[in-house]
Amino acid sequence: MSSFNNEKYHASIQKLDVIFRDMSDSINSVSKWRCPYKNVTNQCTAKFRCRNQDRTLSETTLYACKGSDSINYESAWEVGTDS
Amino acid sequence: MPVVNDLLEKQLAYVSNPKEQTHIRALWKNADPLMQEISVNLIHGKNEEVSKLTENALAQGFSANTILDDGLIAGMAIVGVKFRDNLIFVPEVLVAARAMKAGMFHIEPILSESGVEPLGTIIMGTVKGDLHDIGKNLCIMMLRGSGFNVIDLGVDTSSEEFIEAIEDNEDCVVGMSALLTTTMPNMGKAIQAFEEVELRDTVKVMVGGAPLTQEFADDMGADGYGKDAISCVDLAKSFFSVKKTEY
Repeated sequence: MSSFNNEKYHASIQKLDVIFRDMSDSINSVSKWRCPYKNVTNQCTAKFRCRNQDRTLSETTLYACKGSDSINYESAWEVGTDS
Repeated sequence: MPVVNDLLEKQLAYVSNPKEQTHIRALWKNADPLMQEISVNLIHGKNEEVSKLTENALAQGFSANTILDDGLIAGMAIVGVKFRDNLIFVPEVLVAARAMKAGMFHIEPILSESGVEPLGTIIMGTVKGDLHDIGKNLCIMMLRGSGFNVIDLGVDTSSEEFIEAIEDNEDCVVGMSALLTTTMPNMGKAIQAFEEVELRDTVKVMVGGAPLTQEFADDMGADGYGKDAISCVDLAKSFFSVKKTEY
């Protein structure tokens, strides 16, 4: 079995906790102006329907997001599954 | 050993603050090239690669501590900086977290053999009628990162599915998420269902989601409300420490 140091492990978890706490702050601020389902290439990763999904283009597996980040994106989210 | 991986060097270029760059670069100060490769693949969200490389590193005799620190967490540090600076967004963070989980899959048996127990088991699900999973997935990422065992029931989770999971996992905490005002009441219905099958006293229930408030959580009988992903971790930790003093 690979050697393992419990104390070092707990220190690692602390480091990860710091990274995640910073990320949580970033999530709170980013989600005020950008839909969290929109990836870095402005494609929608949601598994539900959204009126901002550009369904006219089908060459990619993910729909492009045509939503504006200046308006509330949540109002475009729909209840149905993406099928 | 300095950073020798060109792709990692490219990623480091995204860290624009010189002091921060020095600090982050130091994470790989003693890192083998294999650890650097694990980091790069984690940053790119390549879960299969991270899995294979982690397995390979363990087979080569690298310690789980080294892989965790110099490979997985070091990579996640860059993900954090890129996310903070809006160079990547939530979907990319979640893909990196999935890659981290793929690496942890090989490390967890070593933790277990070394006597490191999970902080507790959390059952997470988005409630019935709701398909919005991003908040739940972020909570899961952070809970796992803190050392919890998380059972993800996914989206559109019925009360029966929650109950089945509670019955299968003694001494667990249930986390329910909802993003629609129309599905929020289903959290209360699930809590009521736990009462009906006499399981309510055996679990702590935490709830979260954008439209929720502490008041709504109190009204529906939840034990805690997490306003964001990290509050969910803090709540879970508090529940388990409370339980420890109760027993």
